[in-house]
Amino acid sequence: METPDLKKLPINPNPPLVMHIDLNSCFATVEQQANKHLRGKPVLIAAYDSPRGCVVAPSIEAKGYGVKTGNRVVEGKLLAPNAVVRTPDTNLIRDVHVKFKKICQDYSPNVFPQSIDEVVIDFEEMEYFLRDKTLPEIAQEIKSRLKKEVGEWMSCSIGIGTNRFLAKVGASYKKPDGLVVIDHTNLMNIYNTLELTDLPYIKYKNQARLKSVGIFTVKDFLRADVDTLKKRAFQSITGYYWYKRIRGWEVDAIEFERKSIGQDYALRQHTDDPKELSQILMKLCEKMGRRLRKHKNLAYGIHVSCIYSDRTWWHRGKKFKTSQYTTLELYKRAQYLLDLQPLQKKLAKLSVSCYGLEESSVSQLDLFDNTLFQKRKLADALDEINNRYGEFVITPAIMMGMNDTVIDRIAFGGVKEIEDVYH
Amino acid sequence: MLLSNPFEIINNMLEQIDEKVSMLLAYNKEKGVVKPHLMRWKNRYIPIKEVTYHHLVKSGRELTHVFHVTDGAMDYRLHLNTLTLHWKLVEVSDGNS
Repeated sequence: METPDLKKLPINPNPPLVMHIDLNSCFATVEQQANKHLRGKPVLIAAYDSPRGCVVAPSIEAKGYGVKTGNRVVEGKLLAPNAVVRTPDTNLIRDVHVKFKKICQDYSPNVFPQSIDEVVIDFEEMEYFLRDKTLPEIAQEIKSRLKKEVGEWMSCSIGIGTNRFLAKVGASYKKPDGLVVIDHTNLMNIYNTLELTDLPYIKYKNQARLKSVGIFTVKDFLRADVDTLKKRAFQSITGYYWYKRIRGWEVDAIEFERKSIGQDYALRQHTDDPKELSQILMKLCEKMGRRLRKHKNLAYGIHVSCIYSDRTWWHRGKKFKTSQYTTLELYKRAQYLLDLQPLQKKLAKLSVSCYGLEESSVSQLDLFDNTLFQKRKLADALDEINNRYGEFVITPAIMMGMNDTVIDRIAFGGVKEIEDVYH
Repeated sequence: MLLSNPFEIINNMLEQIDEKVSMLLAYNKEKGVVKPHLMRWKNRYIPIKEVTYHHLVKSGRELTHVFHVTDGAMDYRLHLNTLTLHWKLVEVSDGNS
């Protein structure tokens, strides 16, 4: 492949063929779709509906009062006293995501969910699927199908660009219900209206990096040469990627393979009680183990991390010589790591993940433990029972009396967990 | 507006019910859709004006149809268990806090 002269790399002059679709205030809008009497009202979707619960999604109306994601419920209520607080209905949100993705897949086989409420459709070399329609026409069609097939209250913002970055800039440019096309003809005009932190992935740390080399505006960012970005601002290959990305050249079209499987839990009541923490850890390991075995994987590494009430944190990971497959195997390793905590402080959040994944079909059996094979077969059989009769029908005894502790959640960012639910 | 005690105001008018209800259904063969039409709950007849969302939830081999509906005054969440064909009223809300 011919390497372009980077010092003279122009703004990408190609037609924009990447579409980024963002469901507006997804969690809250979905709740308003299902509950008609919430429509037009400020709604706060919070992890817990208690005063210190974290707002994970304010509705469009609540945003108008200044409520932001990450506010406490009590803060949201101070800003919008009439706001209605709800906890996320995970089944409902996942169903909307699946329906939304199916609509998008009617237009191109290259549909890449970026999160529960964001999808990228790549039309590169997919002219056949356009069926003589322009991308803005397809975008309008997706918007109307979303209303017709998912719900009349649903809306989305769509950006179209020459790469994923510009498409995302376009989708964020006009909210709610926007449609913005960014190409070489209007890129400068759009950039002139944006602050550095309006750009995706540029938040405080990256802004500081850019400011340290005299880049204060998006225009400055575009004018900066590749050496300034690579050697001075980012001091890594990241600077080169930014140089291309901001000019509309694709550097983000990479789909990462799953490298780890994890679960975490933000405790409603912070605690340092070892018994309670062991129960929670076991439930997290059970959920993680179910997903691990569903993917027919086993794991060599375990990682445990703790966020404490005083906002300090601790973590420890270890790769073991033997693999983990059953819930008990995972739990024993995770408990061993958790016991290494230097200080016994009240926990606010407990996370566990497994890594070093390998296909379970190629696992090496232990020479000294001839019951290993039987134990793993038993784990598969227990999973089958839970598949047939529902989650946690059969659980390890340590989990008795836990009821709905570690409730179902939707992760921010990746949507790999949705694949676990629906495939 | 400043609130003297914002903790007091966090009371959703959202009632968890979880009671069996009687249901009259309408099936449209042309459209291929089934819609709950009239519900009887606590000896009151509640006409269902609109299904605002419908989805499926699977738990083991149990498949449940979840209907979010409204009678114009309140929102209701109904579950139809496909194994037993029983209807349950799960949640009632007036959409106010």
